[in-house]
Amino acid sequence: MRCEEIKERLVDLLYDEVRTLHSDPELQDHLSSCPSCRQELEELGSTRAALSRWKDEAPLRPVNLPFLHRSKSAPRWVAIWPMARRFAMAAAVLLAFLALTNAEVSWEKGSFSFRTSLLPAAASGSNYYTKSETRDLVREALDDTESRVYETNYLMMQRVLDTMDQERWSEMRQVTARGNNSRIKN
Amino acid sequence: MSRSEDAVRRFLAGEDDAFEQLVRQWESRIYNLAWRFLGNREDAQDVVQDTFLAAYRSLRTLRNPECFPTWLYQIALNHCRGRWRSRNSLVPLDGQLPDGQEVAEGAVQPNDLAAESRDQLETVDLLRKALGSLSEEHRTAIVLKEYLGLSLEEVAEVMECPLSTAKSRLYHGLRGVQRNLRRLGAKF
Repeated sequence: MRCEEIKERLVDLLYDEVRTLHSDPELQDHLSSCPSCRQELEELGSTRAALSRWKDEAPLRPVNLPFLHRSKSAPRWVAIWPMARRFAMAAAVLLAFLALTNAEVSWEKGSFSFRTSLLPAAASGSNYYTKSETRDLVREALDDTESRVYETNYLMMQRVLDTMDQERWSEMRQVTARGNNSRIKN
Repeated sequence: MSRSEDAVRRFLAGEDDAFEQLVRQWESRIYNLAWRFLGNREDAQDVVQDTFLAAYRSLRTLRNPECFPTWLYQIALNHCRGRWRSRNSLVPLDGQLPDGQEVAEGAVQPNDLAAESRDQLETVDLLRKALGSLSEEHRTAIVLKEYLGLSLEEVAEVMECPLSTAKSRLYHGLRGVQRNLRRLGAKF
């Protein structure tokens, strides 16, 4: 094993977290036979020992936690606010959904009725007429009106004829009566 | 389940007091991390404060409560790096901080720490300079391994690098400290 390879593993040897030296006899042999590598390992160990002389200290003062205490003493509405915001968001989403699905909510006979369709609802036959139906209806109405006009005209003409007939009969009766009177006079 | 993990879970469940428990459990470790990284007590104390404030703000985004220590170390190291860079670059070995302050300032004050021996004061000053002259990566590896006692795998995890890279940084960091101590005339 070369010294360069050992140098790459000096940290493993130094901390020996996986008991490198015990698990690798070749490495152990090299260190026992190579003064340079052994010296470097010892120097690094001395450096570690020197570093360990800088001891831990207590903090100058405890961490100040005003943010924590502020949140503790926050008024009740501050705590409720996030929940209210979530509720408002949920309500907005629900309303948007209802609008998009053409939902229809109504209160009938003491209970809610809910009807919805994902696509715009087609006009129902009971509430709306199609163009052709409208045309038929207008035509029927016109036809009906025309027949009523004819019927009315017919009735009027009939009455006129009846009246004329009655007048003629009346005149004939008068003429007849007048003739009878003159015959009686003569 | 560790104490930290339990406290994190309770905090995530809405128990704010659990965060105070986390702070009291970890403030000393974070302070010592920052103290070794920055070499200045006041700066270290500020880093601890900033670290826990940042942790409080973003703890709810932590997905794995068992990763809390790694996560907290990373936040603390980010604050350490930011503060270190704001104080310019490396601490020179000639005993002057970059902003012209005396080396002893913020480090070890004999008046404040009467019990500390003169030898200990000198030792800490020498080590502070030796560490302060390393690159951020090498110093981070040394602090995590030597002072926080993390395993090599944990060092790699906190530094977000492969295990081999963490070992390399640790090796070069130790060699750097060794070299700096020699240049400073330390007799360890």
